[in-house]
Amino acid sequence: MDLDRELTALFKEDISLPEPVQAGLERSYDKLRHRGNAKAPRRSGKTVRVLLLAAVLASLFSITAFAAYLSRMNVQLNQGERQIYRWDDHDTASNPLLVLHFDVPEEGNLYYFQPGWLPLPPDGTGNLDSSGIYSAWSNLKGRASRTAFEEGLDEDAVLERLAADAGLSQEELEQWYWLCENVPGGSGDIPYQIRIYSPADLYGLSFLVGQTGGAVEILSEETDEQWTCLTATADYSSLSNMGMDRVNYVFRFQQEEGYLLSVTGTEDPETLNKIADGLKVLKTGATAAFSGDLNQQNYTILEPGRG
Amino acid sequence: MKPAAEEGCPTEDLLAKAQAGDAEAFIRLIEQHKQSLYKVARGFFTEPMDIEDAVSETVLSCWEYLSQLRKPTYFKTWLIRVLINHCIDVRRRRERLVSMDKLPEVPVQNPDPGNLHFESLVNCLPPDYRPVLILFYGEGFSVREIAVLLHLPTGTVSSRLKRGRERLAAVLKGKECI
Repeated sequence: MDLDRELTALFKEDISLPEPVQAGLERSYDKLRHRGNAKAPRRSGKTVRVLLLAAVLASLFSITAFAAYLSRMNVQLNQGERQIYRWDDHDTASNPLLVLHFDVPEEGNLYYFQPGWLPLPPDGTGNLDSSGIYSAWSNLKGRASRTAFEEGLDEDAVLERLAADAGLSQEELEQWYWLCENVPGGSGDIPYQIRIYSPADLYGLSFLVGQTGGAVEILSEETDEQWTCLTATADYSSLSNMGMDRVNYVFRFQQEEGYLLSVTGTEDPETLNKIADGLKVLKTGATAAFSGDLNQQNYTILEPGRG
Repeated sequence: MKPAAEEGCPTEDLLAKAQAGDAEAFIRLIEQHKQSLYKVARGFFTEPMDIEDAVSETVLSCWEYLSQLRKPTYFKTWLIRVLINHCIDVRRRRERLVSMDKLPEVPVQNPDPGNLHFESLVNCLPPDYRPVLILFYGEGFSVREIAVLLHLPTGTVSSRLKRGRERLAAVLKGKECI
């Protein structure tokens, strides 16, 4: 039996819950029975968000399958080469693979964004505060808190320093984001996902677009001294396992500062561009350097859409 | 991710009943998934009390917000997502009470003999690797989905998965741990 199968079998093996855990469950069930039949689950209020990303050939994402895939697709990128994007040269006619690679410094400032315009969220309220669009963990404060937690630092001190570096109040730390997604309920749809990549996030990273066999097409491309703007689309209608017909991509790369705005999703390209137009960007005084294993960090797959 | 947990089971019916306020239907759903809940929470904690807290809070909050789940096929993913958020909350609460890095790693006390494989594997992994390996091998999530669930960069998940896999390969060859 190969290792992956063996591990899958072992991790999936039936187990018994320890007595305290089972007892806790029973107590929860009792509470539900008392509450439940008298009152149906509530239908409004705070949204419990489910963040789901694409179900793109699950096996593709295992390390071995992914490595094999990359090898098969003959993706070769030259580190440090000033190259914003290129088509993979393998079978571009039937299975084009768009590769984006950004030449950025290894260390740089941290950037965050605020949406200025967003399409109405699916509940139709248009209220950004209660729509559930924003995930708590995707703002500046959430990221800092998590970093503090993971590194065993004092959270208050980290937030205080961050606020000072960014020139913001503690409250304002919650109003700037590095990632936000429109995740309606538990549907798994992602009409749009906005993300900002600071240089340290972007360093050594290459985006693979359309890697599942979707037909990728660049819709528009504009470059000036400051910005490279790219709009692309991937058509998956011929793929039965994608669960979506099309994903669109808007990339805006600020060459001088070395950050990238990425707005992707199942919304149409005009809507995504309008979202991108409205984004405000905060350049903080805080800096970060790339850290990590370049071999592991080198590729990321962009396929928002359906979980 | 393919919503594997719902294969061939009447989740949709149970979910519809639960969303209409039938607590027994919801309890049956949770019973179907309680092993997954335990395993994922075990990836975060060694103390049964912490696991119990996270699982119980997950059950109650999922019941409260069940109506917001639109597609039954994503029930398990949603459940796991809520659980992970509760695990992170519980961990933060514990962190405020005592500096966790000063505590020694305590294996689950007297694990059920039937759980030895699972518990042994988990105990052989560094704490940061555990949720990743459990979600990948035990629950069938992809690297990218795990990255989203755990709020980690994809590269970090891949790296932990690779190293965790190597660690367990050595374990299974009898070279380390257990």
